[in-house]
Amino acid sequence: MIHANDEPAVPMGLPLPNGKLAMWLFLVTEIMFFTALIGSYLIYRNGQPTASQPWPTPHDVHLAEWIGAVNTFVLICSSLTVVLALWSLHVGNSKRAVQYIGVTLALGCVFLVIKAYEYQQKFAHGILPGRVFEKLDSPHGYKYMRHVQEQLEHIEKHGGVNDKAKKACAELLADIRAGKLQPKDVNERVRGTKSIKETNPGKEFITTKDSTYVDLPERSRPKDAPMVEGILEMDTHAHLSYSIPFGNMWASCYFAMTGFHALHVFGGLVVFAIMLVMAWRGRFGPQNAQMVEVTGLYWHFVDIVWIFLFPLLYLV
Amino acid sequence: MSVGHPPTTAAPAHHEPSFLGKYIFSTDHKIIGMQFLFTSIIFLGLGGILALLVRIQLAWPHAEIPILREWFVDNGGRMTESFYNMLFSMHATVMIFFVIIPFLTGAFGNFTIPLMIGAPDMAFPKLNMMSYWFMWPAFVLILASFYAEGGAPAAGWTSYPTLSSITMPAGEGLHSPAAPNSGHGQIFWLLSLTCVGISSMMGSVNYITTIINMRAPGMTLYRMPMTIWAMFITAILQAFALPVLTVALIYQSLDKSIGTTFFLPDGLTFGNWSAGPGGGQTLLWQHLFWFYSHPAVYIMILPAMGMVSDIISTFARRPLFGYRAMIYSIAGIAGLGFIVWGHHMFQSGMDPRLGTGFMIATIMIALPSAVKVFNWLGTVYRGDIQFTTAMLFALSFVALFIIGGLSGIFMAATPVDIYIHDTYFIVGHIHYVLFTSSLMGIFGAIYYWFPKMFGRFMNEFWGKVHFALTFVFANGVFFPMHILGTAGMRRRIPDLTATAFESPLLTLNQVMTISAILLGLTQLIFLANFLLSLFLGKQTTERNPWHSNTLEWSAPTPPPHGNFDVPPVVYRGPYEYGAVPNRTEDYLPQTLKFDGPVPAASGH
Amino acid sequence: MGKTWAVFFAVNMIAMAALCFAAPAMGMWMPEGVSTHAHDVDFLFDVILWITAFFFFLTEAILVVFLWKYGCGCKEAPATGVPGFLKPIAPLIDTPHKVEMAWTIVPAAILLYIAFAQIGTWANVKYQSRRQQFLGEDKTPVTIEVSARQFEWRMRYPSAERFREWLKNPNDSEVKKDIDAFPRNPHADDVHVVNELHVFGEPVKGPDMDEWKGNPVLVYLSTRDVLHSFNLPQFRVKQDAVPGKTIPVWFVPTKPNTVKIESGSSTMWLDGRRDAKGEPDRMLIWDIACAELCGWGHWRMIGRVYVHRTQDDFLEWLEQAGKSEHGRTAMTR
Ligand code: HEA
Ligand code: HEA
Ligand code: CUA
Ligand SMILES: [Cu+2]
Repeated sequence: MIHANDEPAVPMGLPLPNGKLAMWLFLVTEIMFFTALIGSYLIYRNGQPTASQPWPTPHDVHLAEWIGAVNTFVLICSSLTVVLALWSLHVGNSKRAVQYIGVTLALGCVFLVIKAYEYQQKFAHGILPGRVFEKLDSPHGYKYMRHVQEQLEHIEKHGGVNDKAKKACAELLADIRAGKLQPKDVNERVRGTKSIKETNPGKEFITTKDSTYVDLPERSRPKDAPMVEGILEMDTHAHLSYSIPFGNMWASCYFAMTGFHALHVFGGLVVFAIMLVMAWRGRFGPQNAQMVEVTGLYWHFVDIVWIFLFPLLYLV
Repeated sequence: MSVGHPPTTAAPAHHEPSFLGKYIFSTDHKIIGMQFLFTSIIFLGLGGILALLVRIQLAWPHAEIPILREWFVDNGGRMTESFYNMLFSMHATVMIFFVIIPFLTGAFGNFTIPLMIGAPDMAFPKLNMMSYWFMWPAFVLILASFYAEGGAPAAGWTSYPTLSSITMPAGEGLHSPAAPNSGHGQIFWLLSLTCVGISSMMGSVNYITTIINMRAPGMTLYRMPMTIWAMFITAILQAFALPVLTVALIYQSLDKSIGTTFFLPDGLTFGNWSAGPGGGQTLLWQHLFWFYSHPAVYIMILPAMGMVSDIISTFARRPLFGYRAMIYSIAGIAGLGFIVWGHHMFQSGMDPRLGTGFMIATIMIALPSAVKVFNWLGTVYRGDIQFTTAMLFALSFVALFIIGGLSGIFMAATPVDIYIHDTYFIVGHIHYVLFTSSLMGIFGAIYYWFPKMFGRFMNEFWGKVHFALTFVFANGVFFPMHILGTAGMRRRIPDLTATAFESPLLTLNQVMTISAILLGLTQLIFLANFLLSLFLGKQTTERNPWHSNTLEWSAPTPPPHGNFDVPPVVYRGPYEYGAVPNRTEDYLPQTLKFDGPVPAASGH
Repeated sequence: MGKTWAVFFAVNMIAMAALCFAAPAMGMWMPEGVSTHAHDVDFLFDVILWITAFFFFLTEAILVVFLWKYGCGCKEAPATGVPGFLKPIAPLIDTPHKVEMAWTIVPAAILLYIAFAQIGTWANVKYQSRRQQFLGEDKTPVTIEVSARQFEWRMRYPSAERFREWLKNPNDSEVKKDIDAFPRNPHADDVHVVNELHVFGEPVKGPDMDEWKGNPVLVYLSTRDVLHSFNLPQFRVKQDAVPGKTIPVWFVPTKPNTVKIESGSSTMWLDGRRDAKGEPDRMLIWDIACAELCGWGHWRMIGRVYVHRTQDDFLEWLEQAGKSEHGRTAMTR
């Protein structure tokens, strides 16, 4: 029961400025956003792939763990520098704060540059949604063969691989031109039977009819056929495509997740840039502490998201 | 005794912005609310016209359509099936995303929140403006989709892949072999909803912040009117659910444009064209979609429930029965609402054991809903009911929400849902909860707050005519849908003469169509009443014409920029109606500092 | 005014309830269920119908009565300064907890009952683990692969010989394996039919020689393009066909609707009949009406269910269908 004499309390609400509260709420929506992205990735990854047709390993898709690790380190450092910037503002050292913000901005840029380099690698190897060759039976196999032929012709013209590989390339090209090969043979000679076996454990033979993702050599190969050394085993830098089961799904998830993360990084960088412009115009000081704090919250969140993405994509 | 309201005059002087600044690029929450209000009314007309076309085709399947004949010259003046599919897809999309949600959270959320909590404006007025302006790309895109190659999307408002998302291989355009309408139109649809989503997200962050942090002194949480509670919880629902839809929309757009296969499994073939490698999962779309869209149905009802509670309490002159129970039941509905999305997927091929879990959760949602219904009835009990148009609409909300809710129980029961899933039973349910509940609640709210918004009353006589006819005709269209569904009539079919069990239902469909046309005409009464009252309606002479307790009525009419001439201080709960010794009025405004015994049971 | 509106609400509600009661008589209600679980489903439907009807009448009646009683119509809208029509605070409101507890706990109990009553039936018709038990351990189900596409149903049956083998040794583990692997193992002699689902049963020697028992049916459902829904309203069966998945669906018919008619050299099997002489009966035409939007032809993606009177009829049909060209049987409409 409310007594009429109850004096209304002093201002209502939480002891939080609106901006900070709103940022927390915004982060809640962001958490849900990335939960959906990561959740669907886990579903794709654990749903259809099987022991014989596993999800691609980082190696399959030209993903270097150490690059990811460096990027993780870069982002963590940048989180630290934001905190330092805020702390400097609190102790009244605006100049130092601006410097820290500059460092944060720089680190963020480094992150994006590294990311861009990684993307460029994917582009170069054709690891793009809808572009990866999965099935080698069906008409897609012939598309694959034609594609490899073009790549080989490019190598023939411009080189760029070691001598041993070069020789193998020329042989393969000749065989393709002579019409001797099936798409899966090409795949075998590009990648090498050993690598295929390694990345497809339990792949001795396939009985079921419905496994159509990749026509692995074992299936139609005679048991005692010789092992083939792949061109990529001779020279890892050769730009030759091979079949990757679930490669398209992998690429789709990878670009969606890291892409949206990178967009978020970019958003943060824009704000840091604005702060620097303000500082340059001399309008940056302790009064902006809240702005730095709120942006910092966001920046930590972006950092945490990466800390989830990194192991999910690069390690497990 | 002290004075409830200061005199109407003496709004603080402030400079008058230009028309553009005042009505178009306004950051004032009331103007933004009105912008939402007007656009929603226009889209209601559009959605309604689409619905009427749907009804015409259903009653006279493949008949020549008098006015539209020119559109279908290739088809002998008859509506094509694709066009029909487009009609109901766009009807539902428009009604849900451009009418009900903008009405409730956009128009009334904006108008009521700062006024009812005693704040001068939203926490972030500019963000608020942006949230309205983000609707415009959505408006443009959704309207543009009608003109897109192949026409507007036709895969239902649920847009299930693969029908909605399968595209031809690169170089062959975006035309889908599955459905000719799933080309550019579908992409526009996806982008449009993404914009709606961003807009709602800005809105919800803003609303939550405002409600938490901007309340007037004394406005404790348990003194907030139900409208505010409902808006608050709705905004939380939106904040949690929308991002998931956004991801789904983005994934589907990527599937359609750059060749990802998030929702496309392997080995699809259409005629003699076969899709490329897949690896995606069709059902994942449904999970993501319903993870949003089920909470969204509560987004579409909770604010209406809140407003209806306020209206009923005001016009029954009774404290809202079980105020706290009402709040907890809203929270309960919202909470449970997050774990029941699977009830749309009972027959979808999802693991049936999950179905059992979703069923139990779904059926339990009836409990908080029951509490609400009984509390509304309890509020009317021993009241002094004033039959204003607003009150009538609010009462009809209660009366008809019961029907819509009860039909939900049938569908929630998994074995029964086997039979009625994707039949008109569902369509009946949809319209009972969305039209005869949410929209009725919205109508009530319009009649109720119109005097505060525009300083004039809407015409009560025509309001009642509008109410009575809407009530009769809406039941006339939508109630028979349950019967059709029980007889097995499938939804989303343009012609029911193809099967033995549906053909006998044609006559009933014709009756419904006539009712629907009359329902449409009735809304013209509303439109006329609304527009004419804006300029000619009876002027309000007092701030608080309904003798209501909540804060917005203590502001000048219409409230100026900044809302209140004296910053309000809140002394009591919002529902203290009834007899009080030493007082000549039967209500105690929240701002009233009144010494003396207060009605028991108020605000707790 | 109050009384008018009370009557207005009441009349509307009564009209709707009346429509509900009248509908079955007008032939607009659930068609007769013709599978073993249809009875359970209809029973659950009725249970919910009665419970909800009770709450419908209860709540609407309360509303109407309150409008009648408390909508005294003393004033349309409050006039300024006039005191309200003052009522003492109801005793109810001072002790809210008792009523509120009552109206929370009673519906809660009812709702829990509703929820738990569903589980058994649902499990029987959908849980994989219940399939064998539901269809009968020692029965050979008619095993059919149904593959949906825009806009038709393609059915694949085992050949008559193969099916005869199955029928002979229903408990053989090889047979069980073969049935399980049916969707993955197309044989060259499989019988392909479009839009026709043929199943059968056997008359049982009841007192009136009219009792009939259906043979279980096992359908492997898939689609090669978009979502469809395998919907047999009379059998209370509905299951979406999902791209990339094969979903088993099962039921047991309880009533035949197909007779064999020999006219001259050709044999035909006609559905919608009780016997060879009688007129067709609309209630015995059982459509397979696609129930998931699948494009412009969704509404007319319709097949038919033929429940043969005897196993021999069915096998004879199967043999003939195996011989006919393009998987079309003699009697395709
Ligand atoms: C505002 C919108 C709204 C609201 C509030 C609801 C409320 C409910 N809905 Fe509905 N629903 C939709 C909008 C809404 N729905 C839409 C749009 C669809 C279709 C989507 C599509 O496929 O296109 C849908 C579809 C839908 C389905 C899927 C059907 C199918 O496709 O097969 C189901 C299944 O469980 C369901 C259940 C429920 C339930 C149990 C409630 C409950 O919240 C209702 C609770 C209320 C009551 C029960 C009444 C009051 C209570 C009493 C009077 C007490 C006594 C009652 C008992 C003891 C039983 N709804
Ligand atoms: C809020 C939601 C809402 C509302 C208000 C309505 C309102 C109506 N709906 Fe709709 N409907 C849905 C939501 C809604 N519907 C949904 C979600 C579906 C499922 C779609 C799917 O399957 O994907 C659906 C599907 C649906 C179907 C099933 C289609 C099918 O499955 O084949 C039908 C058929 O009768 C129908 C009819 C109607 C009718 C006659 C109205 C009438 O009430 C409309 C009356 C209103 C008017 C006629 C407007 C009148 C106003 C004016 C005339 C003023 C003009 C003003 C200006 C131009 C400024 N609706
Ligand atoms: Cu197939 Cu609808
Ligand atoms: Cu739902």
